[in-house]
Amino acid sequence: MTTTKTPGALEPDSPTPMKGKWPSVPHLIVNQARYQLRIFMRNPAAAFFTVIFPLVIFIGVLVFEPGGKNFLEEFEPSRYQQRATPAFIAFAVMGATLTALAMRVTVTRERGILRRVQGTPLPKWAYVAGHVGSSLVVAYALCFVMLVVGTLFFGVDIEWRLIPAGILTIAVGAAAFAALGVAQTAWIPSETAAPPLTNATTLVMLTTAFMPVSDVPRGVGWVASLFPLRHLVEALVPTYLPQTAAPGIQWGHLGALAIWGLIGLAGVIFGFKWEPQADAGAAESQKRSHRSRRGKR
Amino acid sequence: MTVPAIEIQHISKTYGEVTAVADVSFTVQQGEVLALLGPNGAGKTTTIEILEGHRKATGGTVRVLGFDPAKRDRQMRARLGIVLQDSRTDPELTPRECVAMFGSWYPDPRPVDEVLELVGLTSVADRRSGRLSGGQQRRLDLALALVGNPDLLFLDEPTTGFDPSARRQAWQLISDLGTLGKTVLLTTHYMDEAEFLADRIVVISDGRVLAEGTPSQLVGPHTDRVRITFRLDGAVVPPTGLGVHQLADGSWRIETRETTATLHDLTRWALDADVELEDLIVRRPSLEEIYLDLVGSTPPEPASEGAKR
Repeated sequence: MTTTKTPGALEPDSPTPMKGKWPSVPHLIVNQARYQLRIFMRNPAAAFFTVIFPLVIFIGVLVFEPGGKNFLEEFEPSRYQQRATPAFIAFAVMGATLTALAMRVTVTRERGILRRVQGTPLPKWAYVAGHVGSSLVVAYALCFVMLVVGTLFFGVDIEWRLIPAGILTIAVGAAAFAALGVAQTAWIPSETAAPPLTNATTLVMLTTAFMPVSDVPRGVGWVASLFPLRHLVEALVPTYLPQTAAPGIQWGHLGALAIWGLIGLAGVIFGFKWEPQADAGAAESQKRSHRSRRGKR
Repeated sequence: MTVPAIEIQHISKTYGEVTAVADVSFTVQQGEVLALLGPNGAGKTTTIEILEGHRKATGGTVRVLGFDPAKRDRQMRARLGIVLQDSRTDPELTPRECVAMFGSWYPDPRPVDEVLELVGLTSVADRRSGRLSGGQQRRLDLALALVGNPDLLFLDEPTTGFDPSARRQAWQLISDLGTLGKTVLLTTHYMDEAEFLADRIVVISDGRVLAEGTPSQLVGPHTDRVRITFRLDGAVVPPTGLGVHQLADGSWRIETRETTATLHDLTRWALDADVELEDLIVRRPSLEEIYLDLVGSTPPEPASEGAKR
């Protein structure tokens, strides 16, 4: 009689006793995105600033058609709504990806959730991909809502021949801003620092994107033209204009966005932090003071 | 012939000039519950974090379930359950959702309802996690560590910050895990906790192993020793030769194996010198006192770190 194995006992000498089946990585990412979306929708502050806030401003601007010079003049003589709608869609895409991701991922890092995830068999990138996936869903949904509001209530014409260019532009822009959003968390030292730092980034993006080109010194205008929201606006607005010839893809601006995306990706790969940052310093100094106290005894 | 669940030899961990772990070695057999006991800053958390793969050891060798934890192998992580000292969950998700989410990452998860039942969270399973009490939150931590059906559990100070009744409940829960056949490594700075839960205790302080053994082995060398303590009026000094030493609070103590003879000598001296031995106490040291002696600390320490946090 050969030795009988105790049911359920480990067999450490065999090459890893694996029970069950590994969930596939795409399944894991989609699943994570669904949980993140649920978390997003249950968080009223996040939902408000990402969805309601840009929508309200968008509608307000379309209702009042404010004058004044800004960058959108370049796209005259088309109607104001026709220029403003894609500009706001670009802004909303940035808010749903860059801003929302920088906030959310920082919060999960500082709460030690990333750290806990690291101790599980979930590939840690799948967890971050879930965050990105949910932010992309929100971004696309918001684009759609703005387009519908613009079309139904403000007479925005949809240039059907330019739709593929528009979809491609939003995809490239959202991906670039998502990468930048995750990368930005490396510079955010704590949960409390997240709102001011992400707001500062948003302000820089808005200023550079809508700066009135004719009124500023050439050098300032040139620096402003490097920033990614400006490129997204410049790539997206033409896809709404009747004078644009099909296919209307602004390759130069998409290329610039792609470079920004790669910069973001490099930042993520080389700078991303999994451990809570605010706690790390405190724990370290506590350890040190304990040591010196023991030394004295 | 079974491979140990955990095997570490002479590990060290330094951060610049700070040495968190100087030299720690121990082995945990499968199915064993081992407590890593020591004061704060002793190196317990650093040691357990090296085993979890969260930190890399500066020196020494580490094996967890036959893996090198620093490589963070997915196969290894699928068989570990980790309760970190301080980590939160998404407050927007309910315990049921949190447990289901974590379970979905493992090849062989336990049923969600069973895990919630095991940690006693069934009644609050559909409440937002952010609204759970501290004790319930800690039980959720344990649920998340258990849902993957791990072979080895790491519990870093599982009861720190608990009130006495919550501690008792947690102890019950953890000792139930032992009956599930899990290997458990827990850290604590409470001797009574280690004694209640662990098959074996490793005492560490200042990053070194001070003692190792079953609770009774640790106490063993001290059980035949008796402590005699007393107070003396003002300037009176006790006789030499009895091994008397003064404690921080001004009282005097003798440790002896020959209780009767020592006591006889002491009382004869007191009668001869016509002094009163106030508060005379003769007793065996408690486990807590043995532990505190071991780590070089004295019991009446008001700012004892165990009380904080």
